Amino acid sequence: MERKVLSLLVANQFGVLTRVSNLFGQRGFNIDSLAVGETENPRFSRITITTHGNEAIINQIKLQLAKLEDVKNVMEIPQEQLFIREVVLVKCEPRSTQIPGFLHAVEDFGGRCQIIEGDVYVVELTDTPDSINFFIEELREYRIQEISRTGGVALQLSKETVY
Amino acid sequence: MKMNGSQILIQALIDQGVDTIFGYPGGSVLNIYDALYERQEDIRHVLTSHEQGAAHAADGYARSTGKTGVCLATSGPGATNLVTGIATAYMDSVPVVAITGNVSTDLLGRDSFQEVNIAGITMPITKHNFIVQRVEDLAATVRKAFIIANSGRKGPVLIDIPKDVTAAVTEYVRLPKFRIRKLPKVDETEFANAMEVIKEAKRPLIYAGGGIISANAMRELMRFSKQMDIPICTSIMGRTAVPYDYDLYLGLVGMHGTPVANYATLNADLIIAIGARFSDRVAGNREEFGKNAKIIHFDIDASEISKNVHSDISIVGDARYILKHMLEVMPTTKHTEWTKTLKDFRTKLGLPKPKAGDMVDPRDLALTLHTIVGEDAIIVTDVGQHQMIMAQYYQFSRPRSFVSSCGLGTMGFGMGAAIGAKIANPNRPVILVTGDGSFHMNMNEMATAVSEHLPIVVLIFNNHVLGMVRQWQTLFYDHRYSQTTIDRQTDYVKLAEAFGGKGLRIRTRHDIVSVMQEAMNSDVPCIVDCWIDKDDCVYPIIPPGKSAKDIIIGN
Repeated sequence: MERKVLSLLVANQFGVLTRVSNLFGQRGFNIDSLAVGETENPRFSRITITTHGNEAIINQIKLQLAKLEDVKNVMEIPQEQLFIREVVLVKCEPRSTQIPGFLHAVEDFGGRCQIIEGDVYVVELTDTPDSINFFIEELREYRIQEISRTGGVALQLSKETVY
Repeated sequence: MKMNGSQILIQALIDQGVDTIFGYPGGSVLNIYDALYERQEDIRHVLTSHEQGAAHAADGYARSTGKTGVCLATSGPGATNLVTGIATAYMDSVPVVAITGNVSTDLLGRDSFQEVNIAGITMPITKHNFIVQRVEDLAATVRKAFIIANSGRKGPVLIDIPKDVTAAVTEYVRLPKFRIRKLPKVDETEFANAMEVIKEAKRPLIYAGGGIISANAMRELMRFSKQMDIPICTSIMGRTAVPYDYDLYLGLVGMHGTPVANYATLNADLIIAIGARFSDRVAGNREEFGKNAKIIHFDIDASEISKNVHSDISIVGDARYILKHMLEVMPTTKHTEWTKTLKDFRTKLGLPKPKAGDMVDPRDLALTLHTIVGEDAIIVTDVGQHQMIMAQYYQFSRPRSFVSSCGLGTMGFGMGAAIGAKIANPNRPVILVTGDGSFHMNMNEMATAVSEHLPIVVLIFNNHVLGMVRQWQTLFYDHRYSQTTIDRQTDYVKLAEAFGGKGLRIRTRHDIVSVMQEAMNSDVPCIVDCWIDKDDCVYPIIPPGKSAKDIIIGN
């Protein structure tokens, strides 16, 4: 089953997120990740949903979403034009002997590091969800304490817009 | 003109064409009821016994007319009591606007007295819902609710209004009556493809649903069927889309459908679904349904396409528009061999015949009832065996004359719905056919029928059991009758009299005509307690999850 990224333009009103996530729950669709934020126009927000399923299921998801009154537009971003990014924050507590290796790994991925106290670090990385998964695997040996991920936000690499 | 929120609400309802609302007062809607008091001449309020009855009444009002039904309830329990009625309307795509009061905005979210988040609760069972935060938005919200309820696939919309909003004052600006949104454009290429496939079909079959009635496309459907000589089967929602005596009407399809309609789905090379949704009661086995046929699906709701059964070609649009378009471009054809096969099959194998003997066979009653109540009558039902028997046997000749909870299967729907239907159609006879199980759920609405002087006839098929569940226990649970032998000791005649109505009894088939005539002549609501056999089963039946091949024809 392929991963699909949906971009939704929705009315910037309270309850919209509930309606969208309820619909997934109610009809047994999967949400792998969901991110939401205002757009340049304060009347609208954009919701990016990563989901998976066969073609028929993805079609159903899109059509059901499009029926929601507050959803203005739904678009599936084609794989070859997908520009997706996610932010992850990872709190690690590497042993003192591991610190050079740890810092090196973070640098390798293009992450940024902040030391909070003692040997506790917070690492920040912006990348594709796949790279972030990979990054987290790399960091496992440095005693991960906490992780916080945003879920992917995406735009289509073309002139087309979801309006 | 300055008005408070309650006055604006009532005025906005009137502006949207509402003349009747069904409701029940309470703390959070006191202001609204105060505004209603001023406008008694302009809008009729029907006080039900329970908010559920109000929701079903709004639904029955809408189903029997095509207009929007409106119900009103207070916050908390008043609002939650509407929920079953809203869900019923949602499943059958009935335009209903439900209005609930709520606690004042400063009390919202504090678990205040009689507070519930009704917008949250009804999210999955409404097309949309609103919480009106500012009185300035109220009139526009009411209008928008009517637009949403009636545009595209119809359905219920809820408006929740906090009490302070009903008291707040603002300038009232009249808005025009709502107009429905433009329909999606029909895809001409797909349409042309569909027409080619229909022309080439040797054994085509139309499967028509409630969408035909919603779109008011009955005439176009008949003309199309005649022009191209294509037989029609219907879902239960589409039951009154075709008159019972139309030569090419095969009857209901699916679980309790006719043998010939189900046979046709197995043997057709093309199934043309129009305004129908392939529910599990029609396509018990989604993989098997129409496996040997191409499927063309016409529906107003794009999300119905290939939701349950995969369709080869689909057109999203209004049934009437599509049918009109087809009538223009399609030739006159004959499918003599196919229709003859079906007609011969139908002659050989029809629905079970009523049993002989003194005992009333409900089939017999269903078959003859129209001769007593007239073509004009509206038949309302509850849910269970009586409902299926009416759907199978009653000779419907007018659209919207069958009011029944088909999708949700709401026992207790009938009393409220019959009240709504009678109020909308005061000059037509309204007969609620119910069971003793369903009737006990919401018989409190007898009080409403009496108070409102609604001479409806409540015909109870009384078998002292929950017949449909019992039937499944007979067929699929080895006769283990768990909690279905209700055997209530209710004396329905006395009960009717206690409510201020009339009570009659049919003990044997010889009583039918005289008792029903007396009931029809009653000027107060009349309950007819009709005794039937507890072991009677509805046949044919396709067991759940199975296909037409597994049909049990029965006795």
